[in-house]
Amino acid sequence: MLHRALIAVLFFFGVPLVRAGEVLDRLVATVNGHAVLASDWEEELRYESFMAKRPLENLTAEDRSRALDHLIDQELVVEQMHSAEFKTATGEEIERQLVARRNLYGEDSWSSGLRNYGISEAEVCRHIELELNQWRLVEARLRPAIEVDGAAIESYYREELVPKIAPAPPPPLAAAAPTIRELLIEKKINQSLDSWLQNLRSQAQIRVLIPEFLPAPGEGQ
Amino acid sequence: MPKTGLARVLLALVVACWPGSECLWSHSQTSDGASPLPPGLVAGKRSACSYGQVIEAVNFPDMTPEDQNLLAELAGLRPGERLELDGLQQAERALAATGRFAELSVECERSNQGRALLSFVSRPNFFIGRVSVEGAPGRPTQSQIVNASKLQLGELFTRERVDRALANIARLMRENGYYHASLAHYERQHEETHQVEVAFQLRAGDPARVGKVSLQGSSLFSRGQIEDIAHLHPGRAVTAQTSSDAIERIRKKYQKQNRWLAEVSIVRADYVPARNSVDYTLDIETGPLVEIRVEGFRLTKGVVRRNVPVYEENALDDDLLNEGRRNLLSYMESRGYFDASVDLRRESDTPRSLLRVIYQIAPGEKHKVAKVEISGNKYFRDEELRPGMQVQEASLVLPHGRFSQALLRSDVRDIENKYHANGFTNVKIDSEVTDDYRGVKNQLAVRMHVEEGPQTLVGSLSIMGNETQPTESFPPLNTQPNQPFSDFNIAQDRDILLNYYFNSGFPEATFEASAQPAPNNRMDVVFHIHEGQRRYVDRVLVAGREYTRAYVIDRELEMKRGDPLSQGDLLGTQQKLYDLGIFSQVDTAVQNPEGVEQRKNVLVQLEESKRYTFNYGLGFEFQTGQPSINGKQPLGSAGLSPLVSFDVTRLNFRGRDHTITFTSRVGRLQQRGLLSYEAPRWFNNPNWKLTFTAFFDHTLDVATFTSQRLEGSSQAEQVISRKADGSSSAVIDYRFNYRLVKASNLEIVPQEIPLLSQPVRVGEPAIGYIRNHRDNDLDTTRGSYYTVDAGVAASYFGSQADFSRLLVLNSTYHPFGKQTKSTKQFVFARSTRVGLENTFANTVSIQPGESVPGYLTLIPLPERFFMGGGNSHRGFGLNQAGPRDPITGFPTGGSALFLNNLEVRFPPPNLPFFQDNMTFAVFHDMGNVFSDGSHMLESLLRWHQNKPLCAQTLNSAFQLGASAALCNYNYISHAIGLGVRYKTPVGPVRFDFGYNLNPTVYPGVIQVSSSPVSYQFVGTKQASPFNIYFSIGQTF
Repeated sequence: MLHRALIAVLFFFGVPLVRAGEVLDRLVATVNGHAVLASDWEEELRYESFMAKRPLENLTAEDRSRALDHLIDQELVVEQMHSAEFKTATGEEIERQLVARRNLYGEDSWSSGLRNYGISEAEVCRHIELELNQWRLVEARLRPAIEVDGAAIESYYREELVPKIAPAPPPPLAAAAPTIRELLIEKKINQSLDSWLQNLRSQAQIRVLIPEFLPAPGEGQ
Repeated sequence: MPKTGLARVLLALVVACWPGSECLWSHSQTSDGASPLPPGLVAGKRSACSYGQVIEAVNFPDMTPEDQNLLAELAGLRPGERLELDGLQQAERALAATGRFAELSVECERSNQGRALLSFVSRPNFFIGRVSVEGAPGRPTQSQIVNASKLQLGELFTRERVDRALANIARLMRENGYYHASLAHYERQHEETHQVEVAFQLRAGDPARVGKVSLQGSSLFSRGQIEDIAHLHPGRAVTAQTSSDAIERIRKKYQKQNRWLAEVSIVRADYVPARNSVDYTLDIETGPLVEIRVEGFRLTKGVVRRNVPVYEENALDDDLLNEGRRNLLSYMESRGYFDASVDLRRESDTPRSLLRVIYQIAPGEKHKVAKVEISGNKYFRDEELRPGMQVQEASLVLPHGRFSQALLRSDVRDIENKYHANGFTNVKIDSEVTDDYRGVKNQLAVRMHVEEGPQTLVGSLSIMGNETQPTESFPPLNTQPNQPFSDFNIAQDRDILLNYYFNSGFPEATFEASAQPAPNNRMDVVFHIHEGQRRYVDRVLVAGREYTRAYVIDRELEMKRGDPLSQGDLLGTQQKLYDLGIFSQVDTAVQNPEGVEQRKNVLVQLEESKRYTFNYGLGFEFQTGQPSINGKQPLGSAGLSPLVSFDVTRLNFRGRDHTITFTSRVGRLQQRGLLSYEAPRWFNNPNWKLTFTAFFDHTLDVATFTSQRLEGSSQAEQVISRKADGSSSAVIDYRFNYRLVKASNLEIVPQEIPLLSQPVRVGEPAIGYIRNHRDNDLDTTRGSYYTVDAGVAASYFGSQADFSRLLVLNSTYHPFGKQTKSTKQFVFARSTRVGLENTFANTVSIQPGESVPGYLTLIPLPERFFMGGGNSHRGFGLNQAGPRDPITGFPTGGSALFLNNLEVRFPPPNLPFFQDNMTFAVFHDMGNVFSDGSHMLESLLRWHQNKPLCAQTLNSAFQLGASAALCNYNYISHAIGLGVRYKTPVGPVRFDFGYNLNPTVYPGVIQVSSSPVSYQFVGTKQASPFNIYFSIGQTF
């Protein structure tokens, strides 16, 4: 009797079980017609969590939203790569970066981390390559328009470097100038990057299909 | 607890998959219809299907079988392959790139064989269709509102776009003063075409009014005065131009007072909702008085104003002042002062708030360009180089010639470019200017010596990358082996090839060219083409058809399913639909233009015109020799004839592109009503048109009689050949006319009145041929025009008079003279007309005054040839040529006509005020009307009328009958004259002044007794030799 009841219950619930389609993947956003998939989003979340050593179970809606934004920005920048001229990352450079990160992560926890976060080293390499190329594009686009004059270097030396190093004697200005120049340029690039990305977003057609993660008004069309 | 293992497994399965657990998850809809994400990070756990499984089938639910196949091909996932994440992602990206899907998800079921059954579940995108507006207030117009929405036909329909459209329209309304406008919108989706119609409903409300006006700065005028100047009166309605017009008016006011540096701006325009008004705050700084003077040479104010652009631009800045300096220098050089210099200086007088701008001119000596010589040119002859030059020798038109260093440099550059375009990449041109040429003081000789250098030719041309389009199919290219090599030719070839590809369905085609030197001054050229993906037409979706029959539209479509997607076909379809004349708007677009699908739907959005249109007009005619109502003037009189018109047109009758028209004209000389039915594309043939016409005409354009005509006709028109632009160049028309013609108020010998005053039926089949090879019908400069019209009126066709008619016209136009950059050519125009009417059966032709046996009839007066007036012989008044009635002296028309017009049309000179809109012509007209054809032939060489024959003894009795034929009108009358034409948007308006060299003489007769009727000769009369005409359009 119980056997028959179990079978009845099984057919009542189990038939839909074997017949109901389950979603493997779906479209979550489009950027100028290019698809951002749920699987892309998941991979991005896992990668970011892995690199930040953040537990997956602690992911918040804000983390998810930030990851989706990164993906959208990535698409916009990748589009720019097609028409820009810059030196792409080589295999050795990617490998070097991978080693550096592995060292930073810690050799012991690297492999287990990959396992726990459900990503492979090949996926990490892919992310590294993308990051390197993106940064090179940003530099190629934004650096030529940036100028740092002597006054700015001197001001940084006086107001930032010397107080930071104190009480140790600061290096001579002439010796520190190249490094300070580079630092200031990087800073300006970062500042310009935000406005550049905002500009790209305002000109792009971005559709987010997950209502709770819709972009702010004015972003995309 | 179940005892058997199977049951335990089954129970465990059920419990594990109970609703609420992770793997049994149903489609629930969020508020926007999107499915929520599966639980987990984002994509959920996959337990029923897993990667590595073999794919059993790939489905696209809710798609047509054809689409299923296409999408399956695009996705690239095939049954029997293994399901992998990379492959799945690629498939999703490829499908998303089509742009067809608003949502797309991949679902997987495990089949009975344990394989993966994939389903791509989607929600389609919709695209923008018709956008309409109701409630537009007139300003802004409906079109402006639709444009402001920026909703483009065929583009993706998104909520964001609609929101942006609403914001844009609201902003447009505010800019036009409608701050209280309310806007709603409605959408109508068409599932079968995936199109969305968007309708905006607007309630504009009251426009805002001008409120308070405040001033800042120093304006020199009071607030009230500023309000008057700017038209910013409180209470006046605010429009989009209120602010800009106000600023402009105030600026102009200051500029009239020579305050060219006045600064005027509206710093605030605050809307006050309570009053529905806008308060304006103006900031005005008047700046100094500016005086612009020319010193060193006397120039009229008009010349200074024309050359110093400060006046035209209503602004003063360094650029404009420098441009004025350059213009004044060019002006001086054009007057022969080739050594002139113009300096500019400013003098500031601060206490008086005055700024002086002084152009100091040092004219130098006046020169004349005696000679312009070009040497060293072998490839181009002088005749090919000189017409384009601006430096000119002195001539009648340019007494000092034209020269300046700038003009010379420009000419050198132009000639160099001409050589470069023909492969002479190393051409060098040296110029030399010699003063006091041949010892004559201030005479210049300008010499240009050309060193052509070697000509580079194309060695070989290779075209690469054209994988689908053979080279033989390309249009002719400019770059060919052994032809001149030039960048200009390559640029043109780029346009030719890309146009070819764009019109063959390759919108992404690109072109690059490279060239390598080859021996013997050759360049081997390679064109690299990247074709890109070819696009094809899927469906042609026509929307907006309400009354028009589908076949009327379908036959104008230049695209059909499967054709390559061609921009040219889209434009051609649009043009052909507009040409039907039944649509007020025709838009064509590609649906989903940004999607990468190979097959695209093409959208044709129509807006049918209002089917009824009404036109009314008021006008006048003026010329000499016009008949006067109830007047007894054989020669007519000069005067105005007012005219009123009213027309009704019914387009697209029964949706078949047939047109019914009623036109009416009522004037002093003519009253006419016409009803016509026009059916283009008879038998669905674009070269055939059928027309039925019925009209009533009551006309007094021949002084001799008033004609009434009631006519019905049918006409079939056949286009034999067309020009490149699609207009007809040769046409045959087949007509049958049936009319009742009556002449009344006859001014002819009394014995002819009973016969000629009877109404006469004329049934006449006719055929006409027109061949038009003119370059421009309104203003012809070259080509020819030829017409033949022939008809037979016979009793067999119900006619009461039997006669045949033939009228032949031939016109030719020949340009001559030099054409330069700034002047057109002369045109010699000729037109010859010959007309013949032959009577047969019981119809005869007689001389005026001859008696007619009772059983015979004459050609009715309205059916005879008449000539004279602004559109035929300009030596006569309107229809005044030819034989005249011996008693009344009124023209009686004839059965033969000969007319030859010669005109020399001058190129338009550049005149003050008129610019190049006025042209002149001199003409010679010769010809006449004859009572029959034999008289015409023998009169062609007779240049004088035999005037003594028209005279009898003064005060003697005037004899009718045979003696009436004594006055002979068989001669060719000549007239010369001058014409003035002024170009208007509707065509040239024409004044002609004609002088007849041998005006017609006819007997003057008075009636001395009525019973019996007798007449007395009182001397000959002569038509006036002077005639004036005013009309629109050229004479021929």
